[in-house]
Amino acid sequence: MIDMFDPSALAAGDSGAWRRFLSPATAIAQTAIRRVLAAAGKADETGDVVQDFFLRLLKDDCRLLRRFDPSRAKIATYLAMVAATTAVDHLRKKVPQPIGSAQELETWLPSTPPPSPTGERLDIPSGVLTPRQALILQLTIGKDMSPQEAGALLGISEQTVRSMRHKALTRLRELETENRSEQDGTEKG
Amino acid sequence: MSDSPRHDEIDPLLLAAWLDRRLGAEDDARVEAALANDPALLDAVLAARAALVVPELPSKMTLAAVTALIPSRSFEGQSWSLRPAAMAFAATVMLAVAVGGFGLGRGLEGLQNESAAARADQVLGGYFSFFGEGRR
Repeated sequence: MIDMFDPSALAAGDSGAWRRFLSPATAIAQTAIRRVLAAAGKADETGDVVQDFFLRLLKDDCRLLRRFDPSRAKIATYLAMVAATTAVDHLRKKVPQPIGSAQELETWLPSTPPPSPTGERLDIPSGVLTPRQALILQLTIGKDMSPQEAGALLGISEQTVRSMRHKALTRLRELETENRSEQDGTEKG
Repeated sequence: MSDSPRHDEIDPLLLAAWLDRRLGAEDDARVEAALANDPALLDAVLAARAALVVPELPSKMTLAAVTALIPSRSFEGQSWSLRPAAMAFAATVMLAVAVGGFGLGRGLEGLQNESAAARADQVLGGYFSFFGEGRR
């Protein structure tokens, strides 16, 4: 139903449009924001961040609403994405807490993305895999998603996910073997 | 470290278009590279997708707080001719009720002014409700 809303009416300040819009938009925003915050143990801040989300929509004469292009995405998807990134911004502003060893704390800087609390992030060398291969590994290994779930997200079949995952892991093993051979050759030479 | 853009450099509309499978191959690759290299961004995308599948009911407290943010903003840019008319009407009603209450006798003056004030509140509330202002 939210896809029926006209962002231009909202941006123009139509109070009737805003009244009809608030409940479904809050539902989507609250869900997305809670998921992001809950993974960081801060689900109790959901209400505050939902308000931040709406303030963000209103900011600069509803700039985000005016920029929306229905030919590019659905309004519901757009709102969910704005809400989720608002939650990520909220977490990034927080004072960093000890996340593990003292070494990890020393090397973690506010300008770098904080480690994801929802699972491991695989350290994949850049340029070795295609972006999709790298993403499939992050999803199926880092996030422990099934090939079926990953395929649904990416719009490809489960079999394609399995095939790409296999190719990616094979490539990484080849790279590791090459690196070891180079190291052995260097040591011997 | 990757050269992929961080989440704050990627337009939410681009991410939404990716989720809705509306991008071309080149933009797909750009977004997927960013997602593979930024765990927070990947979490955001997964959270957004989950919110679309099964959105939870908005909490009443949150909805009330958000509603309070909107009305003052939503009236900006609208014609203000209605507001002065509404205030004039309200003033007239209050005056009429107060005069009517006073006319019924001094012995009951205190009580009737209190009743008149209560009635004025009811009339005002109904008027503004009709015009859509003051709703929760």
